[in-house]
Amino acid sequence: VNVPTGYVVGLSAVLFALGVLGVLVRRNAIVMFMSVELMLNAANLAFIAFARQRAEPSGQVFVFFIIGVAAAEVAVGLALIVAIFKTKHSIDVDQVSGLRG
Amino acid sequence: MKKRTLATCCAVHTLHDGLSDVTYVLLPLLAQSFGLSLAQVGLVRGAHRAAMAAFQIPAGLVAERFGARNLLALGTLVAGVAFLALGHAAGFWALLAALFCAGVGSAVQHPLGSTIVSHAYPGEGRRAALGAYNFAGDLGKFAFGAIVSALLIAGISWQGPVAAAVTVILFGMLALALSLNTQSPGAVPLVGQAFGSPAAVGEVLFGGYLLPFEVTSILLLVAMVGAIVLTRRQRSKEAR
Repeated sequence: VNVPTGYVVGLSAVLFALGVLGVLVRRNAIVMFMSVELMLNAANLAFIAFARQRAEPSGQVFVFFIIGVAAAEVAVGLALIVAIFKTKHSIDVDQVSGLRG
Repeated sequence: MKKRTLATCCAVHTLHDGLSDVTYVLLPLLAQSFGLSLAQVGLVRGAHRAAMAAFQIPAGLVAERFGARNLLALGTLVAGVAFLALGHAAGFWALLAALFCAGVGSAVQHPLGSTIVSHAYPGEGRRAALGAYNFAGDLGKFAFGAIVSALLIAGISWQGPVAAAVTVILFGMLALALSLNTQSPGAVPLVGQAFGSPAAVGEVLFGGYLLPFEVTSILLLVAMVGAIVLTRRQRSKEAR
């Protein structure tokens, strides 16, 4: 089924907005992480839509790089969350104020 | 973008249908200037209409290969040049050939114009768009005939109005080439079967983006090592 590019880009914009809201509103580190992932994947969706529109495979290759970098980010981020949970026994990001001057 | 596509197709429809119907006004004049018999007038007219009818199906097939926009621009160019040649025609056979070529050029307009319009309006609004497109053609038939008749009554020789119409059609072709230069974002994208296949993506990934690929790989590796180190240190502290 051929979906018009406009619809796909619209869905991508909605997903990105949900991700931004999640990061701004929620204080749970895991949920914030998921929201960041949502934003990255919204960008991926836009890349794919425009790659199909222009019949240009570079867009799809960029999505692979984004997925790779997102995986690296998740690995480090989850390790940090585990480390913080072990010291604070909480993953609320407002509790993490150890570096505040 | 949708509106621009529709407007361009409407303008091209107006031009082609208008020019085709200008020949009705010109026929008595051509008969007079070249001393044609009624049978010859019929043949000249028939050559134009027959070419227009006969080349519609090939036009659709050729457009599948070369793209609707290119063929539409080419058809408009052929029709324009043919009408320009009509102004310099020397006799019956030259007239016949010029109008036949004009018919071939105009034949591409109906199948391709309606294809482009219906692609630009995939969902709602298609009926209204195609209605506007058809109306533009009828408007051309009426307006061009009327304008040329008025110019002829005003005492201008028939080559003048034809040259004016050709000027209009050449500008139309230029506008067409400029405004349909990209696929409209609302249209259903036309991508081949091979697009997005692992082989095609792999070719681009390892052909054009090898360095970013390596950098990303190293980044991922470092991140994994970092994750292990972060969790390990914590454990060793707990052990103390």
